[in-house]
Amino acid sequence: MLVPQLINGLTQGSLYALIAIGFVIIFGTMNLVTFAHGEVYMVGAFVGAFAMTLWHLPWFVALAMGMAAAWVLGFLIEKVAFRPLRTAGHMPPLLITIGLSIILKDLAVVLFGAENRPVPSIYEQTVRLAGVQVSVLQLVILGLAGFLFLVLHLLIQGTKIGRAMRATAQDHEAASAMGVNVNRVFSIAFSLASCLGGAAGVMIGIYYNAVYPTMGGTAGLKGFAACIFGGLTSIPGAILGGIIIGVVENLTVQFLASGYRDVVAFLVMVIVLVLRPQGLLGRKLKTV
Amino acid sequence: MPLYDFVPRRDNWYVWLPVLAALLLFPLLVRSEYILNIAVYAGIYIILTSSLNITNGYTGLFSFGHAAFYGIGAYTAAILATRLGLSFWLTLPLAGIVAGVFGAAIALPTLRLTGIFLALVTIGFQEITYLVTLNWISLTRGPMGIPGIPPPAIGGVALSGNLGYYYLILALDVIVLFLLSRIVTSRVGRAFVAIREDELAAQSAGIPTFRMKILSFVIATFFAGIAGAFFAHHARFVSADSFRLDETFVILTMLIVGGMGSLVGPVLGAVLLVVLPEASRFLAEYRGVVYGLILIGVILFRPEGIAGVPGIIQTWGALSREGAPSASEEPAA
Amino acid sequence: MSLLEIQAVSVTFGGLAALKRVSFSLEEGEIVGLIGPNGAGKTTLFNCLSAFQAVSEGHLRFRGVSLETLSPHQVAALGVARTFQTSRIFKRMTVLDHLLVGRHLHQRTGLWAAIARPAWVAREEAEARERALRTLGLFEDRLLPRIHGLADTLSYANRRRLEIARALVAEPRLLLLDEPTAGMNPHESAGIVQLIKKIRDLGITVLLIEHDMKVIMGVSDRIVVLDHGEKIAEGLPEEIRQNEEVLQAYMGRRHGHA
Repeated sequence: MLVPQLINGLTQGSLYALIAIGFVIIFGTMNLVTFAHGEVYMVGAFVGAFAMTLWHLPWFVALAMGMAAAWVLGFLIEKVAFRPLRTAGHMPPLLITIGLSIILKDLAVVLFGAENRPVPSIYEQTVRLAGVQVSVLQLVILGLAGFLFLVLHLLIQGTKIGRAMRATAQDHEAASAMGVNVNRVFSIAFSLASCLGGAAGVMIGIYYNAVYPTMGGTAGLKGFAACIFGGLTSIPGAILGGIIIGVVENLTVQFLASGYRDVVAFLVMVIVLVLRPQGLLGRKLKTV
Repeated sequence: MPLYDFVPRRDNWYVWLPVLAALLLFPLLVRSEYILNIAVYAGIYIILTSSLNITNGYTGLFSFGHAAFYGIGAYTAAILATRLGLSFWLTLPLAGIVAGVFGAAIALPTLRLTGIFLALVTIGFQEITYLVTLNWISLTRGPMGIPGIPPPAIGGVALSGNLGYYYLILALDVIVLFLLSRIVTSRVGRAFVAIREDELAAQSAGIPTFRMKILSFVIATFFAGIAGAFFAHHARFVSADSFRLDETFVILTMLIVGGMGSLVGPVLGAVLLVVLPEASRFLAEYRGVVYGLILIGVILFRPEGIAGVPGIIQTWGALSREGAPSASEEPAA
Repeated sequence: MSLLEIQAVSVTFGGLAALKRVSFSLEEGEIVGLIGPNGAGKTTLFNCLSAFQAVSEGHLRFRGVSLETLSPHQVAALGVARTFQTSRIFKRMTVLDHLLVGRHLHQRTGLWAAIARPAWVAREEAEARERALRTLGLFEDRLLPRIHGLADTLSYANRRRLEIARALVAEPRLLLLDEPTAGMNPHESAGIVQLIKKIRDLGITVLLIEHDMKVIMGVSDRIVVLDHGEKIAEGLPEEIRQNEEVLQAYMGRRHGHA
């Protein structure tokens, strides 16, 4: 029973990693934190779910739509929450994202009801891989996550906008002095992060065959935990953190009790914060 | 005098005494159970926002786990009342003490952190508390919650109907606000504010800042526990789902809207945000949207809220872990 | 035993030596000036003395007590007060409350006393208030009229004065002043010189970091000169004024610059 749980953990972990990377991108580029990321993930998930259930679109179209919706939502959030308060420190924008999170969650509950909304299954078949039964869906998700990680890596390392993001992450003012349009970088970074969160949402919806309005809360916090584990500014750290949390969660369910599953992420977060706040791979935080 | 400076004292009786008198007479004029119920909830939230104000408003700590202590108080009262048959008059202070002890236990390892790190670690502890409460079935009955909590009894007569609860919470609020006002206007309160304004300068003035932050945290969690006990004996049923991050956000929103760092702010915020959604069916259904919009509006247009000390939110916490004035921070000497 | 003994203190962080085996002492009642070009390590030394910076090697002793293992509030409790280079005031507190906070070490009111308010609490507050007014009186009419105003409404110079007042009201034995006249005009600086003399008359020993040579020369009994973390000279003001090494340091020639 161990290996299937590991694969399960790997799959879920890779999706937590997608959420976590979003936080890293936002914090790394903008030095800010958002509490609305979970709700962006939820919106992406719902759009994907509706695409499949209402409009009967194939899953990859649903995925694209979910990601697009999340991108747009992220773009708007950055405009509303972060742009007008550029010089006000990091607390006012954070509080605004809390407000947005409350609004989005409540709207979803009122509009769609608090219960689980079913999402059709895809790729239910299993294959035998190296002596283990693996569901094709798990392979698809792992492949997709891996693909997104790769695309992100290429984007950040190899493109002009990626360089601009890295420069901005190092030092806003210096980047601006070198001609980087910092506002545009912030906007793209936030939208990109949201888009990845939306992808995670759609895939989680498909994996568990359900979406529900409050799914963003815990997922967002787990993403945060993974991000903190790896160091707020490290993408590989976030991926590692997500996977470790996913795997340990499943081992906990297997060997301890299923009710304590969610405790893993929070224990990780608390322990890392108390012992080594900059996480595994992050750089020491700068004073604001 | 700015509203945030107002402290009820003997010499300004003409301000607060009429308000108190009105509150005493109010239920005799408005005999609606429904309205009195809202008033009781306002009273509970007044304690919650005022206690959160001690850490977040006066001391400048970024505590995001208040609902957990509210819940610990509620569950403590529920368990003591239903398992040991203790009366409200015992469960109330005991719930406060238990919540305060938990507060101290959590504060010790975490109050070295600041800003977003402190926020996250308090959220982490809050969620862990929730999950443990949900799973420790032998103690808390897990997801089934604890029903059958007896109402408080005065002179052997159990309260029934919201009239009794109203006067009880009113008395409790007066006592709590009186205690808090004594604390914040003293040397202790000044030390809290000094820590908020500049922790290093506070240390160099001889204030043991770590110890004081713990004290601030324990005071806040103690009163959150008291509010929880009252809630338990009023709702007569507790369930872990009522005490999660959502609830902390509600309390925090009330505090910010009312204003941090003053005695009056939290009271106004609690009353406003409890009463407002009840003003219309539409608003009640969209309570979350209303709260979120008001919070956003306040942050964008009047961050100090109705009666808060201006500027606290903008300088709330720093994104660093330590704050020593290193030689590199100051222009080289 | 000297009031303050700095023995071979070194501070290294990240491979950079901010202080290298600096030694000197202060006797009670002295006013000692600490000067040196930018980056010499003067504020680092202050941070060590007030326990914000750990010492890598060496000893700091105040009235015979080692300071290296203490925390900042414990150092303050021994009788050391300081001001900061960029004045650290409590912006949203009134001037009076600033001084009452400065009195923290001389008061006893804790949580229970704050709630119960036995009679001695009111006496303690009255005494603190009276001391606060007396200390503010040292600044003539600059701060007293603004006693109920918020600190962030004060002018720059008044904020620096307020920081000094807050340090003074604690009745320290040793006062560390970090560039008290930074940003002040000559008239205001002269006022600070008078103030420091008044402080000495109160029996307080002063260690003063300054860039303004008029102030240093006008008020110091002795001067210690740091450059690149090392002590390069110590002596009477007239001696230092003519010291070749000191001149070279300020013109950047000691280490082969310019």
